[in-house]
Amino acid sequence: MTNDERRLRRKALVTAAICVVASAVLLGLLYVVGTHRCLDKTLGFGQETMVFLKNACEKYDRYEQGRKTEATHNLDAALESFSTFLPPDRVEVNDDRVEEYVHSEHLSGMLVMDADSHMTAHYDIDGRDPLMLWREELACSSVASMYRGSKVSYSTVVERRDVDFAVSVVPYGDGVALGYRSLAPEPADDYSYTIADVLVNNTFHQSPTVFVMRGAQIVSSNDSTVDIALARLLADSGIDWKDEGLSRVEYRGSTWYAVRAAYKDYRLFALYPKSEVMSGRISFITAGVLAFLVFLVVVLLVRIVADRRNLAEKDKQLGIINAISTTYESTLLLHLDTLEIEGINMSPSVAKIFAEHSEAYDFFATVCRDIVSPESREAVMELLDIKTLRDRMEGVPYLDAEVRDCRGTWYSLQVVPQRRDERGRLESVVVATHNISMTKRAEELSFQDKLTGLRNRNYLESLGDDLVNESLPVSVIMMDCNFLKRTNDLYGHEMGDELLRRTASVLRRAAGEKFVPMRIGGDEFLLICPHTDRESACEVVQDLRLSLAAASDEVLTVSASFGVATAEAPDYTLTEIYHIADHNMYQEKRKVHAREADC
Amino acid sequence: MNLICCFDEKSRVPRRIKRGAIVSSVLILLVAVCAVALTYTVRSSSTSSSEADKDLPVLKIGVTDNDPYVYIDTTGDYAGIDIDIAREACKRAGIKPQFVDISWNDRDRLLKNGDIDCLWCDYSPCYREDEYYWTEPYLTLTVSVATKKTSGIKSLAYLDGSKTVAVIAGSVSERRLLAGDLEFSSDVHVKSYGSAELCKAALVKGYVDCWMADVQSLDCLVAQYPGLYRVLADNVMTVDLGVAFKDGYEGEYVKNLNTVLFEMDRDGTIERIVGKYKARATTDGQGAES
Repeated sequence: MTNDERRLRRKALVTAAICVVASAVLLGLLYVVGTHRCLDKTLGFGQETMVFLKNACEKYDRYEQGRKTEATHNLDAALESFSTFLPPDRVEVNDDRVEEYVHSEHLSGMLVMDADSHMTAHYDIDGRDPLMLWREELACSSVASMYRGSKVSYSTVVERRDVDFAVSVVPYGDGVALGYRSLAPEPADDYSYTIADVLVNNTFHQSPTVFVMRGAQIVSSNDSTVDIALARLLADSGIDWKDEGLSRVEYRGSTWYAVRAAYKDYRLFALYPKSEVMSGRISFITAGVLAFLVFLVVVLLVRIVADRRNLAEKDKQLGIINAISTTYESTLLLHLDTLEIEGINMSPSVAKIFAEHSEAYDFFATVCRDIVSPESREAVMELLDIKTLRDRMEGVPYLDAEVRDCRGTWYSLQVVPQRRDERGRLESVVVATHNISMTKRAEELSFQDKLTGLRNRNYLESLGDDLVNESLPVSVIMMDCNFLKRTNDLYGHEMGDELLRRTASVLRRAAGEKFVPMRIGGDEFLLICPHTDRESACEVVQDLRLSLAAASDEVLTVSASFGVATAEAPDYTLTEIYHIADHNMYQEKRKVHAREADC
Repeated sequence: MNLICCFDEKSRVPRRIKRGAIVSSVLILLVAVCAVALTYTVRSSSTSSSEADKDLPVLKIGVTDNDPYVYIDTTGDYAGIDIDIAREACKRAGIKPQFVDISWNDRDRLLKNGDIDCLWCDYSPCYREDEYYWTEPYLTLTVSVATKKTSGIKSLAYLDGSKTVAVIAGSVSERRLLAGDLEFSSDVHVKSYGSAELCKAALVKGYVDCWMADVQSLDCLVAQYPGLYRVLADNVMTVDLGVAFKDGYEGEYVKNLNTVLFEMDRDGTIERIVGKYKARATTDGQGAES
């Protein structure tokens, strides 16, 4: 498995893990948020319901208070009428008269007290003792003040023996008269108002069970099946009521969410079944998941578009690489960390070695041994030294070397950076070989004089000044053939060319391996002598003179004028030395011409 | 010739860094979403009682529904001017208040039996100094008169023998009226009702001409029926409120409550509590001075 495959696999695993975790987190988040959203929604409905119930109770309370006040007012009127038409100073009031009056005025009972707080007459339709029944009312400060002559009447509504009574007390002579009438529930009519009607005739959101309690009793509910067990459960302190939220209630094996409130001594409750409360959760989660999927689809589409663009760009780059690769003999990818080699394109001989030696060191060593010429092996191994490759590639665009194979073919061996990690550390390089034999051959031809086979002036101009600095002392011998023009005129150009070829032959022999002979003009030759001082150069000139003389025959006289220049220090360029030698040569040439003229 | 131009080598590192930045941004976004969702989800719920309250001595306070001094709010808890003052005073005195809903007529029996320790419900020591053991007054109420705007009654001077005034039976207002020591005519008819609700209903139905009670209660009436009623600018009298313990009480509570109630009066706490309920009176109002 290659590095890239491992990287891709790791990336796929990480992506899958992130997807799984993100999905779990998303679902969890949607569940929690969905749950609280549903609870909040229900709480809102519950609070609305509580406000509605409170208003209903307030309206009912006002209605009830009005009814009670009306009852006390009517009772007051009845008692005023009694005291007006049966004044104690003129009429003897006894139990019979009181009974008659109670029946005629539809009272529940009545009693008359004298100035000493003794009951003088009384009647109760149910035979109750009114003195015991109204003991507290008769003792209150309002009634007490009536005995003292105050112009005051007293009315109230109280419960006695589970019956609500309207009670009124008015002054009667020196004592008081107390009448009472039970407040029986009125038959329902168009003007009556009951909480039960309000609850039953209303539709509440999420179908709660709504009811109103007073003490431990259920006053009204919109659900006829609600029983006292639920009322006791809600009145029980065991429920953890939340002041600003829904409270969870378990009742008959079901879960309910409850909201409560109070109005005076009424307790108001709304119970929402869990199924109703959480009905929106699934749709919320579904909507959330769908929204997320849409988001993912959009992201994927964007990604696909971006990938396509990248792919097109990479296709273009790959096309360029392939096009360029065809001009290379072999191209391969070298991973510097794993020492793996990937072949991009290879010559048959390299491919054969790669098939048997895929490890980098082994591969390069075998290539050097089997393909590279001996004189280039060191250069190849030096260029492909993997241990130092990273350091050598710092700050340079590429490395290269010109090497030859065993058959003498010239190649340019190139190493180019291919990939770096996040920190910029080189991970892999491309190694490529390019056949430069044609270039080398053209270069050779451009530097060669066709007639003599020596180097020409182009070669002289291509030489840098490094040659001078690295080979001190350097001597330059300038040589100009004598009698070339005369030979051409007397014997023709063929003989002139022969003169030049003989001169070149002498010069090549004198130069050997150490010196560089050149023909730089028509009859001008140059010999560059590295590591040669002036004295040695002069000796070379003497040898050349003798050798040229030896090359002469009866037809051709081979001779030349010489000029020598030597650079002992690196202060001179090759051009300057050449010009000095040229100058010296012309001085000798002028002497030769002078001698010819004398002859 | 070289291969440099053929590889996108230079752009690889920035592209990788860009991908890392995108992943980091997505993760940060996810964490932010989680944080927002959890903030949205987790709601703090106030606890009803603290553990520290468990060891405090308990003061059983007898109360009855009497808006705006004592009533049950929408959450089912006690609220009102007296409730807030009692809670704050008990907190400062190191006492745990326990409010007991009682039938007002049974107050003396419950106090005698020890079912409650005190009465703290808009109760005045006026005319009752000898009946209970009182704390120092913690609040002074102003008593006035409310009447229908159409009644023609514009001041206390209009209250004569042709007018009927509703009062709560047994209240200080009733006693002062019957004693005839108020600034207006003693000929006025007095109609005593057993509760503030009956007084209010009698005024609403037109059975009486006006209702005499503390200004707080009257303001509630005016707010409940906007534009129909007025509270006369003339103040009839002022009434002090106190906390009533049974006669002969020998405990420490009265002394401690006197101290903290004095502090609360001096630092403006009581004034702030009363002000809070004055603002509430604009929404609804019932009750009376007893």
